[in-house]
Amino acid sequence: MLIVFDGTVGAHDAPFLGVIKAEMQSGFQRQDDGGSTITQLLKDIFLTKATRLYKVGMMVQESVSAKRPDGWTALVFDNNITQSHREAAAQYFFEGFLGCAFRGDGAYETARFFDLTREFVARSNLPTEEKRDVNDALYTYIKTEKSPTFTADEFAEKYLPKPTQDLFRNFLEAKHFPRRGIVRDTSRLGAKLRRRRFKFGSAAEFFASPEALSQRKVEIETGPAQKFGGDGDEIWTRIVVHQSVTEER
Amino acid sequence: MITEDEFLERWRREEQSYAAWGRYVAHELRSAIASRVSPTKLEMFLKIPVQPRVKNTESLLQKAFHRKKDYPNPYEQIEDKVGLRFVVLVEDDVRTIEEEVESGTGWTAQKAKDFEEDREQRPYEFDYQSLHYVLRSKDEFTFEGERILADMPCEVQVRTLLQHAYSELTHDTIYKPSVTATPALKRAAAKSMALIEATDGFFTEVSRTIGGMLAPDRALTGFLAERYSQFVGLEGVGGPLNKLLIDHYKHFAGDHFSRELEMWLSHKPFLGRLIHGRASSNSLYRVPAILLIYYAVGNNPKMALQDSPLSDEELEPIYSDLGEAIHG
Repeated sequence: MLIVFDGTVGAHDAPFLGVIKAEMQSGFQRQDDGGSTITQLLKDIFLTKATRLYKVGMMVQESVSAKRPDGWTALVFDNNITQSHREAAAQYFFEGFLGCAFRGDGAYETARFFDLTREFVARSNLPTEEKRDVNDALYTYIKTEKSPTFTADEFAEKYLPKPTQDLFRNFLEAKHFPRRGIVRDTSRLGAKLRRRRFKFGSAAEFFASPEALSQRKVEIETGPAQKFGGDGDEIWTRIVVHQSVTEER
Repeated sequence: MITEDEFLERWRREEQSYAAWGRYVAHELRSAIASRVSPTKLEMFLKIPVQPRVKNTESLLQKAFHRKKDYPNPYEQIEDKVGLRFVVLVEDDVRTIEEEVESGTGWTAQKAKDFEEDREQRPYEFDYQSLHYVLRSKDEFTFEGERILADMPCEVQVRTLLQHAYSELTHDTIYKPSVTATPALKRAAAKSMALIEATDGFFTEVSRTIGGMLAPDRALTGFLAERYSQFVGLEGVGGPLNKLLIDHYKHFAGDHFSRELEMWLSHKPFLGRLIHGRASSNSLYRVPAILLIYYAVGNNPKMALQDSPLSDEELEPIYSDLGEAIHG
């Protein structure tokens, strides 16, 4: 069944038109009729809490004066949009049916998300260890996850502690980073994703690939000097590379 | 010197006026105190209902002529022909009432007894403690159909619950001629009064500390009530639900909350309309704390969900209004 509905949305009552492809279900309804209870079978009910929404499309008219299609924003959700199905089942809904296409600025937005998240983590008051964990997660999330789109919320829920999730959301909002889905495109990030650079003041620098770090072939550990055989509480770093030196420049 | 018959005749004539004068004083003081202690309910503040009491004719006559008081002019000099009593929890509350007695415009007030002054003057004594005032009507006027004459006295007693307990125990007994107050009895009474004064002191300390801790909450409650009525266009409803919600969500209100809420609401004018629309059928939207909840959810959707006293079902519309997902 296809439900078509309209209404207004947001602080400025922007008009919208929406479509939902809904799954039909059946279920029982209980009615108390005085002393007796009547149980009735309801067929063809839809939008129950138990049904997943498979396909939703919304066209929001953000500006009435702009020349079409500029004043409109199209939002599509389709649980079939995964890497493997992207071109087949889902394509009909977003392209054939709704006349939409993936946004062309995925590369820019992915790179911006990457930079903003790193900025947020650096400025956050998370402990050093957690900062590195989140950064490790960011590399993996951007580089190795296969889903064609992602959202900032999804990343936050997977990898940030709860109180930090709200701060992250507010940070991105202040930076006007969208909360909708972003087309995952790492083409602008190339070099940044290939290796991570660690600086130790001005005396030392160290490079490692995100994979080596996430697979623990390279281990970086920080702690007070005493932990590594030194004196005092000054913070030292120990790097263990599971490999011999193969080249020196 | 007035005779018993003359005294009685005049009293019969004026008794109803005295009763009305007592009711007038009670009414005026009750409403002044009520607005002073609001939002605390008057019935909560006064520990015993205030009932103006006219002196019983027989005891009036006895006091005037037979108790060796030697009044040259007993009718004028007996000032408690009508009286009322305020009983409150702590000494600070006694002083609150005193201020209202002193600032009343319908009478002239003269202090007749003050326990703090007694303590100053007789530091080694522990005896009956209370605050007494004699209020006298200024000009003649009519109240509830009764003529109130000028210069009619009315005795007002103000005391703490503990002082009242002492008075209930002793007043009609150890000061009466029929009771021989032995040194042991006097000593026992003095010991209990000393204990009562010490306890009253601790009560005051506790009550001030609690008051100090509640002060920021009170300020927040007042601010939200004011913003609610402006923003929603309805008078908000206070009470336990409002208190509970403010207590739970207050940590979302930072140092500059008033300014930040103002700015935040200005970007969400539609919320006033939505709250107004639901207020008639849902009490949650009638408490001013609803603004704080919206603010908390809008800025910290994840944290606002943690340990919330509200059910998910109650929170869902709020999240939905703000375009936030309540679950993942």
